[in-house]
Amino acid sequence: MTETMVEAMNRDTTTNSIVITQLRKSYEKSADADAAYAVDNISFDVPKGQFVTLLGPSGCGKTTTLRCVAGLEHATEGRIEMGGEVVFDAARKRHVRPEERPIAMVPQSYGIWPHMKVIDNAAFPMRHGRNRRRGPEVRQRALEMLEQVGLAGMADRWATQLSGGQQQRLALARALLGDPEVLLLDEPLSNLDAKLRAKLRQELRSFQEQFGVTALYVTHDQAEALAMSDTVIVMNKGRIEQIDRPERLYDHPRSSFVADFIGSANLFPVRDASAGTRGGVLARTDLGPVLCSRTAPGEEVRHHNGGFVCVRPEDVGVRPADADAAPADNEFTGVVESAEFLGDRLELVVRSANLPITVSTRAGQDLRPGREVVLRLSPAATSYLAN
Amino acid sequence: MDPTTTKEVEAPAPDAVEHNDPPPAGRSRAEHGRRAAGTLVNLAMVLLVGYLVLVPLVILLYSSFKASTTELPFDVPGFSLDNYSAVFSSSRLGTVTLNTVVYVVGALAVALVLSVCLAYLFEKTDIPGRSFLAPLALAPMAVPVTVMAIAWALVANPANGPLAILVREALGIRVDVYSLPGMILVMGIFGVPSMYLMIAPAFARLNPELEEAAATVGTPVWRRLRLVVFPLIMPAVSAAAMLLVVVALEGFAIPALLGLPKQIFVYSSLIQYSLQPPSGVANYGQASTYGILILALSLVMLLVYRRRVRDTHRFRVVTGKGYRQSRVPLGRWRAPVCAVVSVYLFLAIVLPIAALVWTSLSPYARPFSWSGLGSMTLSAYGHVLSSPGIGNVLVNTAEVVLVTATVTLALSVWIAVASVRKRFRGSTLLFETTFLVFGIPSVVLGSAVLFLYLYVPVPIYGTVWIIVVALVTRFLPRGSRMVHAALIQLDDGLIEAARVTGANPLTVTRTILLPLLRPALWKCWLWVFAHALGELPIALLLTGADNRTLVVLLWDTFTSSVDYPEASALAVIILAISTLAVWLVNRRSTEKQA
Repeated sequence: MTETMVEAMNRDTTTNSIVITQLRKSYEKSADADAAYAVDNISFDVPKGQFVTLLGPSGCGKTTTLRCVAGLEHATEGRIEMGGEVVFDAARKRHVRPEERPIAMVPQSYGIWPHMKVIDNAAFPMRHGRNRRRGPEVRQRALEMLEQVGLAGMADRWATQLSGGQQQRLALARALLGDPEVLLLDEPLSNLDAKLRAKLRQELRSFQEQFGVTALYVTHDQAEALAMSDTVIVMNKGRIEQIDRPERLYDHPRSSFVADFIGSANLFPVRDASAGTRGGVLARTDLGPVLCSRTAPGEEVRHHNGGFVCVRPEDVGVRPADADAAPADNEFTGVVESAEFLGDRLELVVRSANLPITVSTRAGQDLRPGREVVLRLSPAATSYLAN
Repeated sequence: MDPTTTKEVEAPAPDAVEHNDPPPAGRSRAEHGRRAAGTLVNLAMVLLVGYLVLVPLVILLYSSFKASTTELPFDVPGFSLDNYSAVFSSSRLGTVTLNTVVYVVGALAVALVLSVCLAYLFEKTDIPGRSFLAPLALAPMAVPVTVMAIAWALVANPANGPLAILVREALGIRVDVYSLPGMILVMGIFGVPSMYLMIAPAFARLNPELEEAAATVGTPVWRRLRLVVFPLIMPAVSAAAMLLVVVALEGFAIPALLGLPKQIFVYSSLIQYSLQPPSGVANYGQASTYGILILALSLVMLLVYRRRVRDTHRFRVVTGKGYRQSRVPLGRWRAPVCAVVSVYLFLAIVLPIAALVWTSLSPYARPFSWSGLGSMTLSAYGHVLSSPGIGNVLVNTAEVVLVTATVTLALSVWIAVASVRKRFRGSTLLFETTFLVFGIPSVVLGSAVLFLYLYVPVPIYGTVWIIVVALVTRFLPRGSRMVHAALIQLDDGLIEAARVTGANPLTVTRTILLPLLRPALWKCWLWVFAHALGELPIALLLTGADNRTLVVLLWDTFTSSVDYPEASALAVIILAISTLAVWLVNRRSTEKQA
């Protein structure tokens, strides 16, 4: 009784497929105070029907988190609820085994059984899984699903005769045939080549929407995460850095790690910061004082001495320096160190006050290495990151 | 989001009535029941394996501290170091130790040189006839060591062995297989296939690019060999060497068949001699003490071996996509090298087997001759198969090998799965414990089991079951390692993908795990089958009137009745059965690759 009340107070469990509360995972036998945590005190929700991605560099704990959700690993602390049922609670020593959780999984290596035909792989969840069926409809449904994923003619081949992309599709078909509430995907595209990856990520997303299944997706590829997800959870060193929609993640990174990991960013260390006279934060950096007034809507910037000034390369204005006009506010002089012509744009590295600044600007300007330039960091495009 | 699909997820599909999950309360009760049953099974298995593995070791240690020469160790009160002092002060220790060292080191040198040469030639050079010669080099795998030793006794005995006669006539050298050099040579040749099997993959994995990378920076060939090739194959070579030392140390058939006639003792044959001397009065204490000595030596070797094997992982040479097999051209040495290899293979493998078959078809032991062809006879086979009690022997043998292979496989699968999947606390320890048995020479193991069942009132002494118990114990470490090796090569994702569909663990094991392991399981079963068939010392020590097996009959016929054609006929029968088993293993594995 109290449990449900607490849940209701904390978060809405009826619209969430997965609710993770203060999950911690340590691989050490005894979890003492200074134990290293692969997953360190993370909490997040996955709303029903949404596509949520765990994004981070290798070793950030994203796969461990996914495996804890699947029940393939036991977390050390915390709680996991799925579909309104507590499937893991360290405090109460409750652990629902993977076979009793409403999940399906596409592992990184696909886990296609080589001793079975394609159709037997696909039909396995219906024959031996959670929601078992019998009769001719098993084969019928499996065939329909294979057709949907584009493996119609392959049903009676051995699974090992499939190519990488086909195996990936088969793994997806098999997962969906288990009628899961939550689909767990562990870097399912990482073993494929770049073109196939781009194609399959669109397919994957459209299947997920078509079947209305909740998806929790793990990847280290930020492009994949941005392209597919409703919500991205950026993880680093076992902790969550930011949970946001892809656009907000790019436009309003909340930490220097996120800014740097999603796209590219210029980050200047801040010595001290104060409130700007007309809003924003006036940050003192090695470049000089920079006014940062970009904030996410509804977000209040707290500043302290330290942190970073963040500006995307495409938001840095650049013009050749002229002797008479002194740089205005938020403008800095520098020298072009390298210039790379990339067809549609020009990528420069400008050194100013001994800091390298990456600038992405339109092509066709005469900005060779050695030229003196003026950089303009528009306050509206420049943000202050407290950490 | 599509509302219909969620509904399907939340409510059980109407047509899935039969196999639907029980309601939560029932589920947890069923689950509790299943867990309890699982725990019970695990506990029973731990006790069984622990009993099989540890009790013989304890018995051995126990009886080595019992001062007795004629009585059974359990009948002697108190403990003492008398056996050790007797062994260490005996004049025999020196000569036997010297013999053992010379025998083991000599056999190792022979096997090492031959197997490294063969592995290099077959894997790295363009020697002609590889596809025929390489399998031939492995053929002795199918020959039980007892059969091998008898074949060599026939082919190289000084009286009428064809090889001995040939060498005497051609080179004027008197060849006698009943000598220390003879034993060394036979053991060395016998050790070649298993060493080759461990070394050849190291050569095969040696990506030519590694050597080429050194060549392109201007390193001369000898330096390349020393700095690149040797370090990469060394772990495999030294691991194979350690294993051969253990096998030679505990191997009984060769020293017994070739050494005993001239009273050339090594540890293993001395133990058997102390337990079943011609005088008839067994010296159990002394046998146990020698057993402890071999065990200690073997364990040291095996520990080194394990370190080496662990190192091989570090040296694992990754073969990426760019791998291509390039072979060293032998040039004008191609034909001579091929000829030398062929002659070796003929002398080492074809000739002994031919002598065995020849003798089995002859009325009496005689060298090869054209004139002899006319008087070929099947009477030896007829005699063997019509002798009184042969039916019993065949039934006993079938019981022993079939039950041993099946039980060993079942236990091995359970141990390996429990260890890899960490089914319970200590499962890895259990797996490691079986490793100790590796170090127990089969003579020692046989005597430990003998002591145990002479004392413990379990009425299996004198039946085939006592042999089965000893053989299962003996083959458990190898069996569980074979299954273990196959298991760790399985991608975890394959099992996890099945678990997350909701299939229960038994279903996953039945439909995914065991089918994936099937080739390895067959291999393990047939391996145990073939080895159980030819395992002499255990059967010999535990034999009685009612549980004689083919290999014991072979031993008796060869050593006591000295009826060579009949012994050869028996050896050929054993050889045929084990060849069939090995052939099945190979056929299965090639089928799998195709």
